[in-house]
Amino acid sequence: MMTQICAVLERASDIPATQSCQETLLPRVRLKAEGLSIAFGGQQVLCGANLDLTGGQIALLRGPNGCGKTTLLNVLSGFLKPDTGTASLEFNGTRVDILNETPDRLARLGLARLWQDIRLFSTMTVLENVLAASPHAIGINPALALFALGKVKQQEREFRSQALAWLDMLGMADRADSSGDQLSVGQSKRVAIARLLQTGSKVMLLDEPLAGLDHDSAAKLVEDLNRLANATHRAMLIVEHNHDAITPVCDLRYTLNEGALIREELELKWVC
Amino acid sequence: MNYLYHLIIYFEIYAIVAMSLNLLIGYGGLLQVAHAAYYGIGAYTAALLWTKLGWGFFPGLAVGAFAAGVLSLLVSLPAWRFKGDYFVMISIAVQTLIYATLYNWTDLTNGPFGISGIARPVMAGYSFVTTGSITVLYGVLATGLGMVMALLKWSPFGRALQAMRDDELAAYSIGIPVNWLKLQAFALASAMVGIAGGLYASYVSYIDPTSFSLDESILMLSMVVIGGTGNVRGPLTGAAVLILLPEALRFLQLPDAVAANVRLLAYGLLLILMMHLRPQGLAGTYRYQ
Repeated sequence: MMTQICAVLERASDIPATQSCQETLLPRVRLKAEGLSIAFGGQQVLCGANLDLTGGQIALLRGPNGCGKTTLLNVLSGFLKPDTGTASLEFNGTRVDILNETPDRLARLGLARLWQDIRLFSTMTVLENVLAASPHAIGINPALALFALGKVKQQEREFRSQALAWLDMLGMADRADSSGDQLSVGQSKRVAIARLLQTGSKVMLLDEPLAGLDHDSAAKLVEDLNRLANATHRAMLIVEHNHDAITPVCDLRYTLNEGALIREELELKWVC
Repeated sequence: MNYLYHLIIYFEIYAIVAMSLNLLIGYGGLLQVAHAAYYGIGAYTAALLWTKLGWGFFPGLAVGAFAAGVLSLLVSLPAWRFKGDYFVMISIAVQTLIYATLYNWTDLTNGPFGISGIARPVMAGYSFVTTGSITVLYGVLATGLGMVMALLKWSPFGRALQAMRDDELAAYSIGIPVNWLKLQAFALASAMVGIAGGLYASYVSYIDPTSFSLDESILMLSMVVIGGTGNVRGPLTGAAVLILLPEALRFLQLPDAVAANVRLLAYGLLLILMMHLRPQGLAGTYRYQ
């Protein structure tokens, strides 16, 4: 397995330089949920949903409109508390109970989400959008921002080169100085994904990343996501209606049916 | 010449006020309407320490700022749950609460009679008695605080505030601790306006609760809206315009009873015109929505 991933990593020449082979292989990530149930006003949306996803896997989450896919993402990203069930994030042997954490803490622990309506910061540039997601920035503390200026500047330089590397990988480096509200839907999604990557997320929950994209843009984004999952050992749970485009790169397929998740393992997966 | 110094001193004090409010409104998108109350807490705390306990100028000023910073929890904690119009209502309630306390806690604040005999600043044995010397001292302090604001704007703290202003949910989901950020922003802005309150008390030598009412908060808000938010020069422009406007009206030589109303009319008209014609303010970068 290790040699396979290393071979993939060698082929993925445009992965940012800061993601060394050792670093990307080390993380052992697992997102696990058991018996998740939630009801809104008497309507049972999730009913004993189970999910298991490990690093390097891409899982498609499908189901008709309104069946509860986004609700599941809201639960897994800490925005909603389920009525019953457990959900945990394991990272290098450390287990975190998702249901006890806030979304910002989960993002800092390595679990972040892409919103269906993208939600870029409209008055900030593309680069600032990505920089805003930099994890553990010491300058977010105003006292340190004023009195540890040297350290803050040094860290900002590192964040900046990392952010530019992600934007470059997603083909958006030339728009780094554009305003967040001057991008097409496809470009906005790429920036939003770069922003997720900047958080250092090991588990990415993507809500309809291909919606609104033309065929070629969708194919390119799928290829990029596949390369990321393989090369950097990230786990991805993707809600998507464009099954044809996304299924070839998926390891797993979850179907949300009457509140329960049906799991299927897919055999024929593209590798980069 | 003294008249000119007087105007400059008022501009310096209100420049600090407007810059601190800009941290909340312009960078954080938090529409604070209780700023005059924190201005009053800074002024009263410093004035009481100076007049009753004989404290020095800077220690009194610092404790005034600290008190305003701590009491900012009254608005920052509700800001965790209440947003938009609901938060504005909360901040108006806090403004009224603090004003009523200053007005009615007569044992401490002397109620409507206020505190008089507040000394002018003294530093290292030098007494800033003349308006010229106060202009210089307050100018140095306002410039220093302006530099602090500029540093914060370009720091990750400023960036996180702007992200929260643009989309709080998105900011929360990428790891920005929005509630903690609100606490810090309110504490910083309130401490800063607390310093301005202390400077005001020391300059005018007499304070009473009417200087810290809801009307004053709306004047501060007008400075930021008219001047513009999202950068440092916007609130400075707003402070200058709203300090000079009443002075310009003075030359019309209207009767006192009419002049106050004309001033309010002019503020209202200016706000409506700005909202229609230039929502980002005279020198601002952010269009408040």
